[in-house]
Amino acid sequence: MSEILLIIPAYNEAQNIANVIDEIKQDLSYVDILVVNDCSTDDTLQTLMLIKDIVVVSLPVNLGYSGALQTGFKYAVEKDYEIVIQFDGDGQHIASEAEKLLNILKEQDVDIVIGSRFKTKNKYNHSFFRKIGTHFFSGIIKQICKVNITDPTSGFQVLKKSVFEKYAQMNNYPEYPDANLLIEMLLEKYSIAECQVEMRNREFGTSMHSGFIKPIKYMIKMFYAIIFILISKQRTISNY
Amino acid sequence: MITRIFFALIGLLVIFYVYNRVKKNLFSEKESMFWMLGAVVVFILSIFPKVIDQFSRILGIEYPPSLLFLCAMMFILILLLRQGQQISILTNNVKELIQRNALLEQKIMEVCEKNEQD
Repeated sequence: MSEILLIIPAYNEAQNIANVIDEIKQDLSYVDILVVNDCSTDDTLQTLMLIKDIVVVSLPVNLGYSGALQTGFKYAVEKDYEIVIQFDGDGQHIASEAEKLLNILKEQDVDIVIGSRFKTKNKYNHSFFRKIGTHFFSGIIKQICKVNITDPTSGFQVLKKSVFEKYAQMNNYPEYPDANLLIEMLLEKYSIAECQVEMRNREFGTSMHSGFIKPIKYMIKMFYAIIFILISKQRTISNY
Repeated sequence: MITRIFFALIGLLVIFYVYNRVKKNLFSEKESMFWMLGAVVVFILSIFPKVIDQFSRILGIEYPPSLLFLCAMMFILILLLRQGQQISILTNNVKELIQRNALLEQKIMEVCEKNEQD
């Protein structure tokens, strides 16, 4: 058993998941792999059952991305892992890039390392709305916490034990664990670093942020969540 | 007079209905309190409708039935809010159970596999 666990929340990723896991096994042979099947309606589970040397946790009800991810954190706490890598099952993330994040975690002794698409200028293809959203929320984080986080929506993160233990226990772990969660962690004096990583554009299936209405809903929900955190944290900080 | 009796009957009916549900354990005592209160208020008001007029005079409300509507609306809104709270708590509990269940299932699989190998 390794001390690093890689968590892949998977929902209807039958076409991608086998390739993703193959790549991880090749490039990151020293990590344990956990796939959380979020009650997929296609053959994701059957595909996973055929793959050896991975752990599969299958949720009986669809809980969404964050619910599946939190299940992974709970598993990691139970099995006493030291480090968790959050990874997407859609083939966007490149396994060999995780090494960079792990190195930063060890060298700089930070709690969270985010794999960012925008730290340096590149040609990663992003829809117009998401670009605005990403800039908007990274601006908010900069204003509040004076920390420069260029890609708060990135699902490619490496977390230390203290962080995922907290995530696992949170009974209000947010629906979208992005800017709001990062702000909360920063306000609680956890340290966050970023690292430029390459990402691919997805090959099959649709993103959970696709369409026109969903991004707008996401923006509103996220904005509300941030305001809420600011108010509640302000109170706890001033109480000390 | 006939309208008074009619509304008093409705109040009584609701009181007995709620009481029955609680007795048969189909409705929690805690939750039933609100409804019981509402039914009792309906019953009392149908017997003494002048109460509304007096209250609205005290509060300076010119058209007494509007007080009645206000109270009814507040009652419904508070009830809705409570329901919303209950639902969020339940959703959270269910999520917790689903996650725990999935993790336990995985553990059982692991143990079974180990047993097969031995």
